[in-house]
Amino acid sequence: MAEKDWQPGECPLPGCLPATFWLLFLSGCAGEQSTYTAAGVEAASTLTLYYWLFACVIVVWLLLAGIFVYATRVRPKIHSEKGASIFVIVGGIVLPTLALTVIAIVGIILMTQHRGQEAVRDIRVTGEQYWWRFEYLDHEGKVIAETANEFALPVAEASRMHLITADVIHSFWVPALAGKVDMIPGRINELVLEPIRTGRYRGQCAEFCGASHALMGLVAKVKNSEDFQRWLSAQADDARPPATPLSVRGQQVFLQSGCGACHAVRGTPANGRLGPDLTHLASRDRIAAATFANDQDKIRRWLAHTGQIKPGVQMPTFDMLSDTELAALAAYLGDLQ
Amino acid sequence: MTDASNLDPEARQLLKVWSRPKGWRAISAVNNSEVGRWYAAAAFIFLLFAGVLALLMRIQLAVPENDFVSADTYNQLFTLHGSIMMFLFAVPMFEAISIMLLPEMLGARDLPFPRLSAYGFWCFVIGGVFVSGSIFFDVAPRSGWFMYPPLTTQQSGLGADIWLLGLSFIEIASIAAAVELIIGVLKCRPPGMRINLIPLYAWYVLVVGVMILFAFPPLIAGDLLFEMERAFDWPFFDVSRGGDPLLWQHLFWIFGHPEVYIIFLPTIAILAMVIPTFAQREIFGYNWIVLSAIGTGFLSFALWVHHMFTVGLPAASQGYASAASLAVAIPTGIQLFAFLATLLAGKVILRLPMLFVFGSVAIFVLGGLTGIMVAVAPFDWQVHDTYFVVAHLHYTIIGGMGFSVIAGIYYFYPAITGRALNERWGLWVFWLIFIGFNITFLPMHLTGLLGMPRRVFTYLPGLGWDWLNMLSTVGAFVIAAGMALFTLDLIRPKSRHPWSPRNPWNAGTLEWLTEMPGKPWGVRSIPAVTTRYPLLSQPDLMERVDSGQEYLPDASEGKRETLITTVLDARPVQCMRVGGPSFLSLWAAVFTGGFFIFATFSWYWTAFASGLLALASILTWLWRGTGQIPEKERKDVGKGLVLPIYASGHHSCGWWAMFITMFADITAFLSLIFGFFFYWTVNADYPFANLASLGLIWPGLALAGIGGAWLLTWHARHALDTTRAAGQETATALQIGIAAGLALFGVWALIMGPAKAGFDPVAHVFPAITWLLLGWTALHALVGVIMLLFCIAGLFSGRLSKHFTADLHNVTLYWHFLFFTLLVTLLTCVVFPRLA
Repeated sequence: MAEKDWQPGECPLPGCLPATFWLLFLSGCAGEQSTYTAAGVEAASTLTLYYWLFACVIVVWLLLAGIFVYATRVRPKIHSEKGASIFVIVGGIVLPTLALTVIAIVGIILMTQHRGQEAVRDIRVTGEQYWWRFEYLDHEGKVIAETANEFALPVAEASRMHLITADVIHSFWVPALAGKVDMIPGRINELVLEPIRTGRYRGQCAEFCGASHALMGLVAKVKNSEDFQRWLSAQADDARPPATPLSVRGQQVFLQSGCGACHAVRGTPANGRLGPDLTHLASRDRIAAATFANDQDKIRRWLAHTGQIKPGVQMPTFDMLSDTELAALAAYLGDLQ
Repeated sequence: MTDASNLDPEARQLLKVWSRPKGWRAISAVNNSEVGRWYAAAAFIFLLFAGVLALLMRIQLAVPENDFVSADTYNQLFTLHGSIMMFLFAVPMFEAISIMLLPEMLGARDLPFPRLSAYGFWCFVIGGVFVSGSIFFDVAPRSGWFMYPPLTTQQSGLGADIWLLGLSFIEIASIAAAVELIIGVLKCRPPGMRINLIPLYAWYVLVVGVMILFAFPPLIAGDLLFEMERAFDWPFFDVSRGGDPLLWQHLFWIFGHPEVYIIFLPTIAILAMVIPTFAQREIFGYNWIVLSAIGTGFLSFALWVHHMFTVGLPAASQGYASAASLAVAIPTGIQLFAFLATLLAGKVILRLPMLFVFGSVAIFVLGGLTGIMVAVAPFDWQVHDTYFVVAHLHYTIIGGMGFSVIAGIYYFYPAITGRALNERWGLWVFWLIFIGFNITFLPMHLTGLLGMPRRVFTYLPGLGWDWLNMLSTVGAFVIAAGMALFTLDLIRPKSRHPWSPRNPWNAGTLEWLTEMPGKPWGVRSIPAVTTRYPLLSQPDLMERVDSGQEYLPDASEGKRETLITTVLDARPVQCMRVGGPSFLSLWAAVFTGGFFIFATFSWYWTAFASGLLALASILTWLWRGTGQIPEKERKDVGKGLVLPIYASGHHSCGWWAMFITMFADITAFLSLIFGFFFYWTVNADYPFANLASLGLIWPGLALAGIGGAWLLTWHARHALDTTRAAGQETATALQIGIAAGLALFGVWALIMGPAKAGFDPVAHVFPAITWLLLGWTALHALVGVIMLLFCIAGLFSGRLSKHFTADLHNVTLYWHFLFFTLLVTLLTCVVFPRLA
């Protein structure tokens, strides 16, 4: 089911570091959920920070291990007490204090840079067991468009994510764009995402949230400004009416089976709020919280084996539907562009 | 076990007094060598069990979308793996090794409270089996060893309760062991071993013991809040009723971060014993190491927020935690550099333990350095809760703890069992574990950077994690092979192997006085010590000790005795009698276990009955086994020294034990008070006037009752100490009786306050925390009343009298702490709401 169609990120390596340090980790550069992909302002700056820290770690480790081997294997002549004192004072106190002070200052500067920036757009993200609700807000805080598990951002613009939870603690994380921020009951946390490259980036819940924590994925699509506006207005629209006889039948199954009690398909009687909004399900690349490719096969499998695929999921398994009903339902859902 | 026929009569008598009980009575043993060995064996078995759980997890993660185990089983596996490693292996292993070796290092015959060690051990085994066994019934805790609410408060099933109650029970045992070890270091040293001469291991025991006293109680307080919410719906973590899940995170990590150093420091202590021996010189920078250890201990309490960088705390808290987390690297580094300096300034002999020391340093240093990386908040935002952190923590703990414990086992094994382990096998063990470890955990850094979160039962293919996970799984089985070989070497029968030579590594500290095989008396006589490495720098010491020419060479009264010395300069002040074999500790542990285990199943009446039986066993144990009136006041302990046998007040170990225990108790109490004010900061709109309806009358009566009881008890103790008149005992009994009555009245008034005001603990967090604080104080006052009744019984039976006042001194000390608790409770629940 894996599609390898993400855009491999480039490693923005600072040219001043010797190549050997990251040679080992070069394989890490590709990956739609990788921190090396660094497609956001924060992720890119953190990646640079990482390379510097990594270089320091290797140097210090080699030094210390070298001293140990020198002292025990080479067995040099006995060093003097005075030499030992200088060794402890310089190596154990002076140098670490200097190095750690620099690191602390850099860390605190970066921290203030990356939290509390200005943003031009507000998006409310709700973590729910085990999926994500995205609501695009206007300036009054009214919802313009709602979607689930897959959202879009314009490149080179800062968007503020307002992170809340509907149940337990989750953590919102798209590694290619920025670090993670937890979603905690009773609190609204904020995270500003400012992508620097278009592409599709995967994220995943990072705080253990129950049985199917592992399957709580999401997709962030970074688009250029026009594409984004087009996407947003399409998402704000009501659903298209079903076009083929099969999907008309599918809509009947959808409504008769009570799907509308939990799911909304705007423009139809289905207006449930408990589960993901399905108005434009077919516009998404993946289903079941970025777990499967979005095709008829996978939709049918999901409907008939929900609880088995995603233990602890709130949605009931619809294995009582006949194969033809399932096919119709899948066709209807596949029509919701 | 040993041939006693060629011993002189004095030695034969000593051997008889310290001999181990035989047959099925063997389990009644309480001596530190037996209990320490059982303790270590049990902790080791839990290690192997948690290791098997880890292998099952690695099989599941070997390939993407695996269905080797279900999501639910996997979640139980990782929860138990973490919990067992932390609570049933790492901390108990430190306590086991210390119980086993500390008295030997100090030339003491035993720890001051052997039956308390045994009680702690049995609690540990019962609680540990209960928690671990739950996975076989598919009811194990399943939401991580950190148990975050609201996921865990809402979860149905027994898992969370098993975690909360089972581990609280074990935490209490850990605190008991810490009290014992602290007093062991402070009071049970050989004459002349001033505080700046004690083996570094003992310093670390002291530091870690104190850390346990301050780190475990916040978790116990958190567990209490948590279980009250789960069992009775008191809304401590429920946002809709004023609670806050973050309070749990704070309490958990105030425990959780020092915990890391509680695990790490004792094993550094093992290095501090091993390295000088093989560098053939004394440790370099003794004072620096001690100060750094203390500094690490202090700093470790300032860092907990670095586990919470992603919860959205204010930048100031994050910056502070980040700086403090970096700062702790400095004292840690000093200790490491002092070890390296010892090696540089010495003449190193390479033996097997040194190889494990190398493994420990190499791995731990990398873990420490990645620790510096994650202390930088922006970097942590990326790797927090990913496999990068899994790699980091295993590098610190397996490097810091795993390898040095194995180094310690190879090093100390002859001192413990009289025989050495196989060095050739040891090489295989080392390389298998070392290479396996790096194959498993080095790639995990990368797995995390590639975006794989922790605690996932499966993952999707195509994210670049597949081969890394397969590699880690292969590595895990290489580690397992090394551990299997090591275990085999430990358990295979060695009766045909020769005894190890005495002091095989030519070490300088007193534990190497032990004969091969060791005798249950510890040392034949207790030497006076004038240097840090007495075996190397005090000529003839071993001969003098063996021939009984040093202190306390006899047990002519047929009682187990050890020397008690002063805290700073180790002047001998008492020849203390310690408890011998007894089933009471075992029964007390069984019933205490019953209390917690029945409560897990919500069988509250059974739990209550079991609790009463535990109380009865403990009282019997105290009555029959402690503070016994000696048949003579003083004893000649040799070399012209005559010491008292009975001590009371701050001269007695019991008083110190009470003092230290109450520090832990007050820490737990202050954690609850912290909770109250935490709720105050997050509930800005709560009408505090509601709480003022508690009124002043009932709290005032409680203050009068319990406060009066406190003053009267204090007065009774003073009068008993100072009055010369005959028959003072009767007057004392009367005073204490009135005090007990007053206290009971105070308890009643304390409960009537919120009851009359109609505080509903389910409605909102403030009535709940008020009830909890008042209830906590009331329960402590009831325990105080039981202590008073114990004293009255003592006065009538003669165990408490003008000459023998230890019981009343200890009880008065308890009441001082109790009154402090009452005062803070009333200030918080009664006065503060009127001012706020």
